[in-house]
Amino acid sequence: MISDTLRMQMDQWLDGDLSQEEEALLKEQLEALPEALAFFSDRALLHAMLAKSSLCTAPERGDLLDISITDQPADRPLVRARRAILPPWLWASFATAVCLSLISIFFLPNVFAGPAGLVRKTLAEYRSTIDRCYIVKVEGEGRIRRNRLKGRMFPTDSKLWVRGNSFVQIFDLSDDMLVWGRDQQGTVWFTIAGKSAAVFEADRVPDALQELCDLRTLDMTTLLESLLQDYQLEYAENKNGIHTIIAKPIARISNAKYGTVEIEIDARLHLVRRVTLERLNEDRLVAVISFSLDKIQQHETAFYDVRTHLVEDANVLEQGSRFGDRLELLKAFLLKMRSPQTAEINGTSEDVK
Amino acid sequence: MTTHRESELRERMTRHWLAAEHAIRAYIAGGVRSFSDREDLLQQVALTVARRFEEFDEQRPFLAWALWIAKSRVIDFYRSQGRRPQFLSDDFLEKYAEALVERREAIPARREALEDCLEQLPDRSRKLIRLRYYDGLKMDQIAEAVRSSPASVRVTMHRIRDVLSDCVRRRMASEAAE
Repeated sequence: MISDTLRMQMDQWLDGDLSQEEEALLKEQLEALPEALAFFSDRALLHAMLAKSSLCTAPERGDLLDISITDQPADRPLVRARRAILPPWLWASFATAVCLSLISIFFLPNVFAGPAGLVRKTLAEYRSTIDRCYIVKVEGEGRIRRNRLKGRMFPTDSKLWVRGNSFVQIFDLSDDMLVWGRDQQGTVWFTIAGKSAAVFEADRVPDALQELCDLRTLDMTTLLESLLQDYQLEYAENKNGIHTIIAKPIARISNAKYGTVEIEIDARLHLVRRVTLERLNEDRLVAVISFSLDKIQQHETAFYDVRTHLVEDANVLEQGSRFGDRLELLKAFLLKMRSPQTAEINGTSEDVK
Repeated sequence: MTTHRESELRERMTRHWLAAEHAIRAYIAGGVRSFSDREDLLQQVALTVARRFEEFDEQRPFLAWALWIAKSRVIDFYRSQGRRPQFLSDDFLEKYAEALVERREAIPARREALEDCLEQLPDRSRKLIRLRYYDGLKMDQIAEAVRSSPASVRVTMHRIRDVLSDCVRRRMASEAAE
């Protein structure tokens, strides 16, 4: 039997919270007592599982009673209310909803996990360290294409590498290679042909660039969290274990970034195969963006750093360079991308010089 | 152009990695103190696994192979640190890897049971767990967040984990009995 003190020291070590003196003591006892090894192995597994549990990877329901979390069909009314102020009839509705959910879980094999359950499990996997590459297509909705975006469409397909919140997107244009990305610290950077580059620290990313991040990239963990929190999810199709889920915003959220989202998840691997989302701006549809999984590969962490994408003697404008110079280069970058955000940067660059 | 074989290989690697990641994380956390060093090492192991996946013999457990890689990364890490002595000896790292490999088949059932057990925790305990694992806070930061002392938070967290371990054990035993 190992002492409670020793067991607690193991927790402290796994929490990165053990003093150096205690560390030596723990090491000695771990190596001397076989039962300590067994406990240590179980405890370390528990810590790892907690870190990837749905409680610690998805947004918390908190003290909100959120019936949407029970994966109801799209046509069922949704209720979001605080526990303390629920009137009795709402409790009755809640009980009915729970019963319906239980019935669906136990008697309908097709919805065994429920779309929210599948999204939650997928979210947990996306906390892992694997790099995923998606082919990105941006299409203006038919009417928008004709009326508003004509003549300033984005370049053709691009490749987007994502790991957690980091990304690198590569546009192989006929005249230039444009690459941009965000590293683990939230620094956003871009390069034109690898010869010139600008870097913006996380707290100084210009709005135009931030908007481009939102529009052109895919922060899978944020998207999945948002689907769980603010969307009603419904299975649309299941083909060979690939589930298609249609997600619709549950309430009119002011300045929502996305409208309807269609997401294909490989239920076996908890892997997002394809995402098609409506990008909104001030409640107007501005584009339909699709991300299709191309490959899974492992990169060095440095892949998400600007220096990996530069040629020798490249001109890099980073912290310390004039912010206005960086904005000028950003303007050139946006022009090459034929991005509507160019107009925005034209309007702001003078203000920050 | 990605060939069919490459894509099939990557899919197999992903499947193995996702199934083994908890144990690999547990192994690295057992050997290295700081959270950021743990993340870096996990990344290095993932990278090596991806590079050398073709060498992996499918007849052997993937976890044993991945932990063999992880062990050498942990040892290299301490060598690169110079002054700081290795927390666990090479022999113990070997035994620790074996203990985790022995547990590998029960991991999916443990995860399922843990999800249920977490649901049963009181709100305050769930909050502490989230502060530690979702927000990645240290004990003194958690103490500040919940207006308590670090010593008290340490003890409470230890008790919560005991409760969760017991709950998981009971659930798995009752599943096995059915």
